Amino acid sequence: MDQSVKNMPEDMLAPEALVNPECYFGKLREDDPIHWNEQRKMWIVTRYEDVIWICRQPHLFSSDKLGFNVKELPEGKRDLYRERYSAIYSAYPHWLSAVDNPLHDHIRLVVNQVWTPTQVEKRRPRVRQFINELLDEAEKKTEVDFIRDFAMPLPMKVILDFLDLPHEDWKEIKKSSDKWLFYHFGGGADPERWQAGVEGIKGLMGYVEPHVRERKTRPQGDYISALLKAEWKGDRLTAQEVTVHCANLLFAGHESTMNLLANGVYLLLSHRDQWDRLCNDPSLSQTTVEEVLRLEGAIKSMLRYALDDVEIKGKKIKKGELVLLVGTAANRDPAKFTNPLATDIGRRPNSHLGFGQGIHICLGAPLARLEVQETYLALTQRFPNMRLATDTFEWHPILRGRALKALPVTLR
Amino acid sequence: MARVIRIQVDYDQCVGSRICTAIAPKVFGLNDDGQACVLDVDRDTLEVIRMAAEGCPVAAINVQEVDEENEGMRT
Repeated sequence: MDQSVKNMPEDMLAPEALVNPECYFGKLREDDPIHWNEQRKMWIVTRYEDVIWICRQPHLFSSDKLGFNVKELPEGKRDLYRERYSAIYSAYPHWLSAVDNPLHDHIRLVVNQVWTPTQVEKRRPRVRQFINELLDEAEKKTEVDFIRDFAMPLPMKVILDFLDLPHEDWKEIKKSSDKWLFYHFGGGADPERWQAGVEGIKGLMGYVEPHVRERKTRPQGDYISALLKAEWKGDRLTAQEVTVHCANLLFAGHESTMNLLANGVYLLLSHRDQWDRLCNDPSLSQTTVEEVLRLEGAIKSMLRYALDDVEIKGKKIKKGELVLLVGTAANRDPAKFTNPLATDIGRRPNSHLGFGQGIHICLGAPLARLEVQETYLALTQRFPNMRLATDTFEWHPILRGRALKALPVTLR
Repeated sequence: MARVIRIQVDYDQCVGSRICTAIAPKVFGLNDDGQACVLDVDRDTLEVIRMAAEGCPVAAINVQEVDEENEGMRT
């Protein structure tokens, strides 16, 4: 390997790369921006222009997660898995982020009729109410784990409220969601993960299903009823598709928002000048959210596999090979961003890849932006003296997400 | 006075979601960068074009109806 790469950590999940992914991916971006990683058998793409180009070629680079997981199974075991883990096989073809076209557009265009920025915006007063209730509780403690006490419950309450589903069961849903996470971001041939996937998806769908059935018979003025009725050019979603979609919202609606909320607090409190800047000028709250998404978004990287042989800048990616698109590295690409390593909560323009790019651009982005913006506004206005209560932080050893294990803070 | 439709795509915002090309395929296409481009504003109704703009997940499409005369003066 190139001389200048010699100081980088050996692996992208090495301890120093977990704390600071830039020390691994930044080196690659400079020296070998489309890099074949022999150990993990995947391409690693780190420059902004290459990441967005690949994201915008869904006919060349697939997001079909089930297809990818099945490919990893030994030929002789595929029928057995299909039978044993049938819940996964019946749910995944309707999981928006994990399917290619034409399935993707079929779901997204119908969902688009009811999941609109206007509908999301209507939730702002409710979101503010949830934020303040949680902060009222947290305030009573001397030391707070911002994740456990705030970032975990808030998005759960918000997404359940959006779906007009009861809030009381959120801890049960969280358990199912964590099991699904273990499969969804791992998979492979590991039976333990597949079993967790089955329990997770059954838990999520089992929770949603009776509510979908009820609204099918007695439509109300809520999101699920609207989605059951929604139509795009004569195309509608079946009750099963609506159920999977709502399970997807429960999962995606809290997991990544939780991490985004926490990562942002970590970023701002470790750049005190920027925290104070927001305290003094709340009109920067929108650009603050974008800067958090750029530098410490919830998603480090996205996975695709090549549907055909593709050559990019002299690198020959073969059909079937995996491609890791490292958004966190692209977001620090000096070819795209001025002074890319600096945290600047007033940065404009800021065309980061924190919500992805292309047809799989995050559906929940408007809701996540709203939650995060309102949270940072509430925190800086209510607790301007908030501090990190530790100087050592542990990150989950995962490839695609950026997630702290805990975030101890003092509020006053 | 005749009215004309003006469409602007904000290329700092456009993420290539292809929702506009699915909703109004006669009006919107994709450029070489995989971002939205306007093919021909007259090939669908204002209603459909507005629907495509409202469907954009990042609100990158701006649609305006302007007087033809003013439009002429601007150019």
